[in-house]
Order: sequence, then structure tokens, then C-alpha cells
Amino acid sequence: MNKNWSSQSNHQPPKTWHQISWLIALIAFWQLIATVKLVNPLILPAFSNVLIRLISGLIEGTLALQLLQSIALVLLGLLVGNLMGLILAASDYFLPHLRPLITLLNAILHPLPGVALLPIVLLIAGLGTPAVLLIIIHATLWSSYLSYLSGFRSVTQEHLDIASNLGAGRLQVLWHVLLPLSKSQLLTGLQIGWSRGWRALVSAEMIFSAIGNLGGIGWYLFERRAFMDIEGVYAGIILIILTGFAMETLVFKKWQPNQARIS
Amino acid sequence: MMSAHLPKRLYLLMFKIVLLLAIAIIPLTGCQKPQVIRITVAEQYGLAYAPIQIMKENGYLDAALKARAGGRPYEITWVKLANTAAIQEAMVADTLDVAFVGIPPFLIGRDQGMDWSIFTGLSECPVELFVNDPAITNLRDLVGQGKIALPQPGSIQHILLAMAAEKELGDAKIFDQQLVSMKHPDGLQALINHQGVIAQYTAPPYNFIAAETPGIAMLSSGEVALGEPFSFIVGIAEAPFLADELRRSALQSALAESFAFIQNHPDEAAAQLATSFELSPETARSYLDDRTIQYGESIRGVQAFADFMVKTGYLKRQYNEQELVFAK
Repeated sequence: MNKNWSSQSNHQPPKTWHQISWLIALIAFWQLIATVKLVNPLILPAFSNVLIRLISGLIEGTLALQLLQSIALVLLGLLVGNLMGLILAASDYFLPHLRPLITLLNAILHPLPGVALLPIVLLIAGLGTPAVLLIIIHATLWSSYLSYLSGFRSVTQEHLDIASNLGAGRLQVLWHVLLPLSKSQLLTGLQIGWSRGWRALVSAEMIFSAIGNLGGIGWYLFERRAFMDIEGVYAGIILIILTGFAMETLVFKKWQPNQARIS
Repeated sequence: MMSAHLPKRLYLLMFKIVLLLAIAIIPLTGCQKPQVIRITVAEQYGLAYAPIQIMKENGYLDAALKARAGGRPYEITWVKLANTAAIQEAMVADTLDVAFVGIPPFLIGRDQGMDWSIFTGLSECPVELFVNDPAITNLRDLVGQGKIALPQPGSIQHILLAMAAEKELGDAKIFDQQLVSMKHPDGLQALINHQGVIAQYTAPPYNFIAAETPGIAMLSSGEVALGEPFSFIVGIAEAPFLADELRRSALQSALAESFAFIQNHPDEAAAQLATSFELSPETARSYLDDRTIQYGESIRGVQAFADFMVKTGYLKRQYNEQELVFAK
């Protein structure tokens, strides 16, 4: 036992079964303390009630539509932000004159949370979908720019020389050499972009209630809180967790060619 | 290999549950409160809350507690909270004793299991819906037209809008997809400057300002929607506080003093309010003079709100006024 200690705990990824057993334990524990009223039900309602609320909200209410609207909005923002990130990275890579400007913009804007920009964005774009979209684009743009750039810079000189000897122009180098060779960084960038965009959306909807016609999942949470409906609030939080989890594990990890590269 | 260890796994699972239980119970033990008389009041902002401002600035609550404490130490805390959801959360967390809110949020909290009751009225005033588009002359014109700003879903403004919608259009929830949650000053700004908002449901002094702004017109009023006068703001507290004669009576007598002060010394009250709300003393005085805002402890409209909110599904069960209003 002792002998194995160091090798067993040597950063092996935890087994799925172990994680699931902890999850079951956490849920059972939640249900138990809620059932024996150890905690005020206005703070922690029973898990079963939350689950019922979640399922009935998805089936009967507008929750499923709100969720789909939110996901669609983040994916659209991710697409636009990613394209803009690609343009910035390509400009940075090929146009040394522009590099200081792009580096400067990234240094200024990348650390700035999108929600902090919202008061200004609302003045420009008004309330509603365009404002949320701008915030999501901001949230995804800079991380995708950095991923593209680090991908491009990891391409060796030999590859570039070969392309150049074959007479490739900049766009051809970008399309046939840089992009294929930095696939892994690009996917990581997409993954980071998704999670940043998703957070930006929920924050924007909750803090400023900047929403589209139906309102997304953040608005659902905001509204449930306003109605002091704690079961609804937990249902919304669980849905946000499940969506984030589903996107990250089922979509992005499946695409990832080499999992070991994700740090 | 995996299935051979099933009993062990069960043990492990039970161990995990026990471990988590133990972690949860530890912080719940050993909390003894010292014998200080404490009262925490949510201090809100707006003309409708003026008696609270006066009570605080003139030290009425302080004096009332001192007179009753018999030498025991006491402590008054004023907290600022953004909205009624925050008030409910603070009361659940036991960090707030008394708050002043509209009747609908009170009812929603009660319906969700809060053991709070109304113990006093605070103010009555006009609450009104304004639009910034001259083409909109009635509620039907407003359907599907743009965003309607109000403090939050479930607020008195939202419920009054639902009432008007039901009365005139037969559908209480017809505007629910057009709502946008904005504080009164932000909403008014957006309304006047046409920034993504077509209408605003608002209260004094913002409806006074809106009424005087060219291009802004009133479309509907709360009193017409409800069909009777109603308390705009009422005082609420949880059962343990209301059962505590000392603290409750101190608060009630301090409030009575505030009401009397506004009634008997309108000039001084206006001057105080003018400073608090950044108005000119004349404007403040005019608000008090023309009696558009009335302060007093009478509680009105509770039953009408409750009935409507049950009928339209905002509340789960029927209520009668006696169980909602605290009686000594």
C-alpha cells in the first residue's frame, strides 16, 4: 500500500466511477439535509423538488427555448469572435507594422471583463440581443486571437520555407500551412472561447437584463430570483452547469486530437 | 475486478455521506447571541420611503429604543439593499429585521414560505405607465412594440401592468416578453432619450419628471388598474421580530413620530427631503403639499393584490387579509 502511494496519486486522472460516486454522495447528502430540514428550505430546497422544477420547466415552460437561445447566441458570438481573432492573428503574423497596435489592443482589452463594458455597450447597441452578442464577441475574440497566434508561431521555419519555395502567397501559407499545423491550439482556443462566452452571456443577462425577446438562461435565473423562487434558481444553476459540462466534455473534448495537450 | 469490491464501495459511499454531514453540522453549533437589543432596518431610496429617512435623521428609532431598553445596550443598523429579492435573501440569512416593500413582492415571498407579515403602511402615491411614442395612445398599441422598463419582475409596477393588461386586453401576461428590469432613474433616462425603451412604469418623483417632459405621455395608472387606492410601500418583518414587543413597539412609535413630523412640520420635512433626494426645497414642498404622496400607517389594497395574483398564477394559494397583516 505504502509502496504504491506515490505512483497511484501521480496525477492519474480520476476514474469516472469515483467521480460519479462522489456526485451521488453529494446529491444524497443534499437530499438528506433538506429532508430532515437541517437547513432552511428557503436556502436549500430538496434536490427532488429542484429536479421536478427543472424537468417541468424544460417540458412545459419556456426554459428549453431560453436555453437554446442562449446556446445559439454564444455559438454565434464564438463564430464571429473567432473569425475576428483569426484576422487579428493573421495581421499580427504577416504585417509587422500592425503588430504593435494589435499587441497594445490585446493588452488593454483582453483583461477587461465584458460585463464591465456593458454600460457603454448598452449606450451604443441598446438593450437586447446585439448588446449581449457584442459582449460575447469581446469575451471570445482575444482568447482566440492568442490561440491562433501561438499556433502560428509554433509552426517551424522549415514548413514555411517549403511553402515559400513552392511559391505560396500569404493567404496560401495561412490556409495550407499555418492553420492545419496549429489545429490543436485552435481547438483549445475554441474551448476557452466557449466557456468565456457562456460566462459573459449569463453575467450580461443577470446583471443588466440585456436580453433578446425571450430572454436566455441568465434572465431565467434573474426572474426566478425576483420571484423569490429558490427551487427555480437552483434549477437554473443546475442547467447552466449541465450545459457547460455537456459542451466542454461532449463537444470540445471529442474534437481534441490529443487530450494530453490540454493543460 | 470492479464488481468484487461492491460492498467496499457501499461502505465508501456511506463514509462520504457521513463525512459531508459532519462538515455541514460543525458550523451550526455553538452560536450564542449576546444580550444586545439589535434592530436592522433596510434603508431604501425614494420619496415613497421618506418617513424612514426622517426617522433615521431625526433619531426617532434611537430615542424609542433607549426609552424601552431600560439601560440595556442596543444597536441600530441601517443597510442598503438593491431590491426586494435582496431583502428576502437578507431576511433568510438573518441579517435583516425590517424592510419596506411593495405589496406584491411581500405576497410572493409569503407564498414561497417566508413567515413575514405587514405590520404597517408607509405611503400611498401615484404609480404610472409612461410612453415616449405619440403614436401609442392605449395599451393595445403597446403590444409587441418595444421594451417596457420597470424595477423587476414581480414588482408592484409589474403586477399593476398585468392588471391593466387583463382589464383592457383580457391577458395579464401579454407584456411579459417585453419587460426589461431597470432602476427608476436609469429607466427614465432610457425613456426620455429613446434608448431601447418605449415605456416605463414608475413612481415618484420619476413619474412627476416624466409627466413634465415633452414627448412623454401617461398611458395607465395603478389606481385605475387596481380599481381602488392602495399602499405603495408597506413595512414588513418576520414573525420572531413582530413577537418581540420591545423592538416592534419602538419601531412603530418611531414611525408614528415620523408621520406626525411630516404632517405638522412640512417645511422642515421638505427641507430635509430636499437634501436627501437632491431636489429644490420648493419642489420637495410641492410634493408634500399637493398630497400626491401620502404618508401614514394605514394598509390598503392587500386583498385586491392577493386576489388578482392568485387568479393569474403569481401566487399558489388563496390568502385573506387577516393572515397577512400583523395584529397585536
